[in-house]
Amino acid sequence: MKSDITIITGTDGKMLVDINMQIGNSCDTTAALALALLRAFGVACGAVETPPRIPESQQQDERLKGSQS
Amino acid sequence: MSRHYLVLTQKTLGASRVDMEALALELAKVNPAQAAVLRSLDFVALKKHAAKKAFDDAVRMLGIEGAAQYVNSDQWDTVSGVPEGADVIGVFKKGSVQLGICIDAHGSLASFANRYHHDNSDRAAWEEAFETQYRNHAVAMTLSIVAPGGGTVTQETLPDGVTVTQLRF
Repeated sequence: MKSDITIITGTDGKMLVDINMQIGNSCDTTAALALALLRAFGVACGAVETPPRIPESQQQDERLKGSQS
Repeated sequence: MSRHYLVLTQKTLGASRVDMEALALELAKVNPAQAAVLRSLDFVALKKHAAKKAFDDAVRMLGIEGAAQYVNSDQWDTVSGVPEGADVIGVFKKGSVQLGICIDAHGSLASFANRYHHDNSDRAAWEEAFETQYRNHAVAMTLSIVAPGGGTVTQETLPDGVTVTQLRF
């Protein structure tokens, strides 16, 4: 699995950060550094966090497990 | 005889003042190694680099002139609008209307100009164009620094003005 970080910036300057990390790398620390850097550049004054997402493929696995038990 | 009053204006772009040590201390609670990375970076130089690229892009997009220095008017005996101790990035110019961009003495990005009291020039649009470009360059540079072991950063601005910046590694 490859990792990626996507930052979507609206015309009003608001940003949405999406982080998909390979197992072994920490999303939290990467996000913390990214936010600190954006604040140091002066382009981010705060952040809105969205709950962690489960990939669709894994969601299906979870549903299958649920139906078997 | 009429008198023309000019005012020197300066506006900080983005967050007004950033306390780097406070940011590093906050980050150290999560990851001390990354806090050390943050402390090692010369953010005045990084901001200057991003601002120069943003200025050049904005000049190209706006189709106006970009100058290296603010030109003062002899006619109205104006003094320089350049804030004291500032490092000028560039000056947007169209006819006699100018808007300077600088890194001020505190290391903050700022715009400056000599304005008439009733000013309805294009300066606000120039400032907005610059800020958008600066934000995009800052986001791309952030992702380049964050990437553990490097990676490829791509950036695309969609027709609706939304910009998508992605790092793959």
